[in-house]
Amino acid sequence: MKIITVDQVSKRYRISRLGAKSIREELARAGHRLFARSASREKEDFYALRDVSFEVERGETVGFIGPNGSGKSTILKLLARIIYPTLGKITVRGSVASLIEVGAGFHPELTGRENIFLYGSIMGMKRSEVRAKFDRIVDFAELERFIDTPVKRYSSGMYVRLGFAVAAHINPHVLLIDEVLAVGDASFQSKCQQRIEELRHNGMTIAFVSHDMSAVERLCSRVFFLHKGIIQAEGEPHQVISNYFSSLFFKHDVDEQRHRVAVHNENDREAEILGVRFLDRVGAKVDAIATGQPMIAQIEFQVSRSIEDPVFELFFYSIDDRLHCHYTTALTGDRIQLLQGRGIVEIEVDELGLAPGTFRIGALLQRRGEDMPCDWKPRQYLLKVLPGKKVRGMFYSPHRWRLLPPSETPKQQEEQNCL
Amino acid sequence: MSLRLVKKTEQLAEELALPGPEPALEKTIEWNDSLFAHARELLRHRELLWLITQREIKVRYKQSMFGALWAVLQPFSLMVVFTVFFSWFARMQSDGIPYPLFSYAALLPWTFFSTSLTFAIPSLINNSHIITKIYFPREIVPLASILAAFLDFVIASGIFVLMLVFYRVTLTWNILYVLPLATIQIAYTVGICLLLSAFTVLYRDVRHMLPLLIQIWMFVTPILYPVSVVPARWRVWYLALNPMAVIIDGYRRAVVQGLPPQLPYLALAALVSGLVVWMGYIYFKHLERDFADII
Repeated sequence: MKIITVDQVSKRYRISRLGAKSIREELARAGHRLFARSASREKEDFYALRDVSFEVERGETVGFIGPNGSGKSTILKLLARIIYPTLGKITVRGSVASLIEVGAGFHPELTGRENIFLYGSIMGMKRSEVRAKFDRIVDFAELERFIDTPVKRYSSGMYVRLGFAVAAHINPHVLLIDEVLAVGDASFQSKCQQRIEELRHNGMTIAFVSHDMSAVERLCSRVFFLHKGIIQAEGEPHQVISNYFSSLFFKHDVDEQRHRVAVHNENDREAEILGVRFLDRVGAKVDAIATGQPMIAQIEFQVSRSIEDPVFELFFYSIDDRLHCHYTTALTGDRIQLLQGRGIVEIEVDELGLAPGTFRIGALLQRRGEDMPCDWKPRQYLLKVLPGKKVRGMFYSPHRWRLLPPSETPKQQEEQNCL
Repeated sequence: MSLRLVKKTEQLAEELALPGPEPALEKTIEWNDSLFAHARELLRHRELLWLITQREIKVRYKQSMFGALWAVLQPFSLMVVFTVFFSWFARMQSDGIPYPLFSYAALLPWTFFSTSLTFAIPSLINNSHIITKIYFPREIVPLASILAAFLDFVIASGIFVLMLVFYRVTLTWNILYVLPLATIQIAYTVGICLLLSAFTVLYRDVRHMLPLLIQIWMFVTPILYPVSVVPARWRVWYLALNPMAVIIDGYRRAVVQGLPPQLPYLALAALVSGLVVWMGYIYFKHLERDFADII
């Protein structure tokens, strides 16, 4: 059943119309408008959303990603009925709880307890219903000691904890979450994600805005990529996130690359990395490899004049831009000499150690001991790591277990002697 | 022990339960729906209205020494001041009623009206932190301010009852006119507050104008003086243009003098009040959709 229907919705702001005015200013503006042409009025228009349509089925968890100002938060505010579309129609069947920005509409003068009841009531719950859930909310927020303190004395972390705890326990049909989780500490963040996971399994519909791509990829069943108020891509999280990155980082990285390589004159560029590809055991080109499986990576390059003793490096960045793994020929490879022309250098990994997720791959070619790379492709290639050998923790490493025979076990007496 | 066990089981059952029943397929309320639909939605949120009223009262008297006593102190101290200056010094007529009774009978409903305006008109702006983050029928905010002022009115009426006993006022059946009078006053107040609170979101001028407006309004309403001091040829316009004049005078006649209010004028005031509340609600709901963008 479709729980959210968004039909050709646009949201327009008149830039000069933002914010309240005094009557005098308004009269002055009216005077100006008499003489100005209508064209100048159109220049003031700003579309936060342009002709956006989509539907969400009951029980889906959808994510909205995109650069700042792309209209993600506007969509959530429209769904929450906080703002009204300029054009188009939005239908949400059932109750909506929204967690938009920190605080979610708490009153600073009232205590945490009073605010829980107020918020529950705004969500249309009866007092008795809130009372039934009160203990669990407080418990989840870890605020037992401060529940009778006015929330104006709360830290921002406490604010968010209370906000999330309330929104996540009042069982709305639709839960909207906007980037708030970034405020809490790591343990609370993981707690929130766990709770979201739980709510998902219980069949709640969740819409989610975040810059934390790993969270989006893990939690969402469908992702929308927005740019300048238009839906650019929609679908399976991994695909859409890759799409987003290639659009976003390509531009960003090309700039960075140009900056770094600009010192070398374009004409006498000695070498260029043409591409990176991944192969499986049998040598077929793949986009995805499972944890613990063998991986072969190939860097294809072109050299305009021979290079003595170069170094190749390969970087694996996670979606949230942390460097997870790094291979370099400076450590393990033999001394190489590159002759003019095209070539391929290959690295073979017996068991891939990366945990499941999407990784962006950077490649680098430089002379040993030099700072300036001959060529540098930062985070330009993608590799999806699939769940393979089960990993709990950050990475998998090849290993062997062995049970020692009794003869090798040290005697207890000896141990005592040691002490 | 067994009770706790039962509670635990209930909790567990609730945790396992799906979030609510299948959502009703009925359409949610749209902004352009009829006033009756909006009123029904408001009725569904009555618990919230009550909670926000409580909050309003709590916040207003928190960190103040006398607390709810302020509800009484405000009209009472004004009555004392008026009695000293207008009755003793300036020899103001009061239709033969003891001046403290005369002025307090008018100050009581007037304070309800002016407090409502003072708190309800800037209420949307003062609650912008909720309005920009969560949806609920926005009229709840100014209505809560009015409801809180009404509770003040009820508390302050206690003193009035004591005064009626003290001055040995004999009550007549005409006191029942207080009910229609209060109804008309509430309707008028709600209408004015809806209109002006929404207008304040657009133009902050109203906030600066408000103290002046209330002061002038007080002087054109028979609080310090009886209606009989208004020259007869202006009295028609005086009562017809200002429903508050008819209402305040009506209270005084019904309770203290034992007379019915001036019925033709009261009928007109009722008509105007109905019109104001109707138009105010339409205007409010029309602007409501843009509140979060502008505020």
